[in-house]
Amino acid sequence: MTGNRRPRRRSAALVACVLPAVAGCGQTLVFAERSGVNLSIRADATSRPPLAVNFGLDRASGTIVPPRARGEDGRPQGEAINMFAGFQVDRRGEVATQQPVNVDLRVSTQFASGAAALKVAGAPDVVRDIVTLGQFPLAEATPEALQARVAALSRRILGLSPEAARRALTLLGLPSGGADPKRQLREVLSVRNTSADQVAAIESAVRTAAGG
Amino acid sequence: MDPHIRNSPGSRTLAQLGQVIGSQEVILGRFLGAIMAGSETNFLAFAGVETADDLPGDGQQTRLEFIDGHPQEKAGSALVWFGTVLVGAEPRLVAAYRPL
Repeated sequence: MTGNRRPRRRSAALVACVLPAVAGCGQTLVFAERSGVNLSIRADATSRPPLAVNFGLDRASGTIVPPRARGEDGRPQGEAINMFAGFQVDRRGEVATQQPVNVDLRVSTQFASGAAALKVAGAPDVVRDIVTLGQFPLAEATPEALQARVAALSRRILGLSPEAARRALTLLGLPSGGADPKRQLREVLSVRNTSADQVAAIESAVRTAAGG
Repeated sequence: MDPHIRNSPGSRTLAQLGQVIGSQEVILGRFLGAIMAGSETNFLAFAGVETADDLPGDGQQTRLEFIDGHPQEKAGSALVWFGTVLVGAEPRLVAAYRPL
């Protein structure tokens, strides 16, 4: 999105038309967003400053969440569907004083709802990833010299019991209270696959935790 | 089984992206697909691992190719995914094949 182009305004009209149509479906979850980019330029040679530019982003999100059940009188019963959402606006580069509206903005959004949100509700790290965009771990290639060791380690994690995986995480100085410690161990290996020392540390922890 | 999501800079070449996917498949399970996340990053999805069958065997890692239009069937390979991702900082149409 570039500010010196014609300002775009995504109308809320479409959302307004769609929502009533689907809201009556009973079990339909609706997640809608409206974005408005507003650019105001005032130029007056006699005033100071002679040029004033206001750039605004107006973003609204709304949900229609069906109830879990309805009573005989039609009233909703039970908890609503859980939802986490986050959005973020990033500006790329500096704002040039000679071209104050020539700026690139990126608007990102993501959300989890229903069973997915319930599943992660007890996992603060995952919730943080959902509400904080662009925070997924960086994937790196495994150096050729470590590829065979990393592959062997990955197969060895398969054979660990959950208790042994927890012990390995503890030996590595990491939290081990998650619901799926073997998955956690894989997550660790996937971001420590470029360092011989770190791979060796995981090998040692897994070997010790497995009892030999 | 929940997929694993990973970040990969969009500046990587196709060969580098392929190496990253091949490396991560051995740890996080088979490659599911990728998506552009803004103008600088791709998100990569991996299926997760529960049994040995979820890990690609030797030489079974996913291979990437540039394509022009719908990907072609290839003898001896299965089409895993195709779509637009950042390669060398440019959006490019890419297909992923896995040797059978």
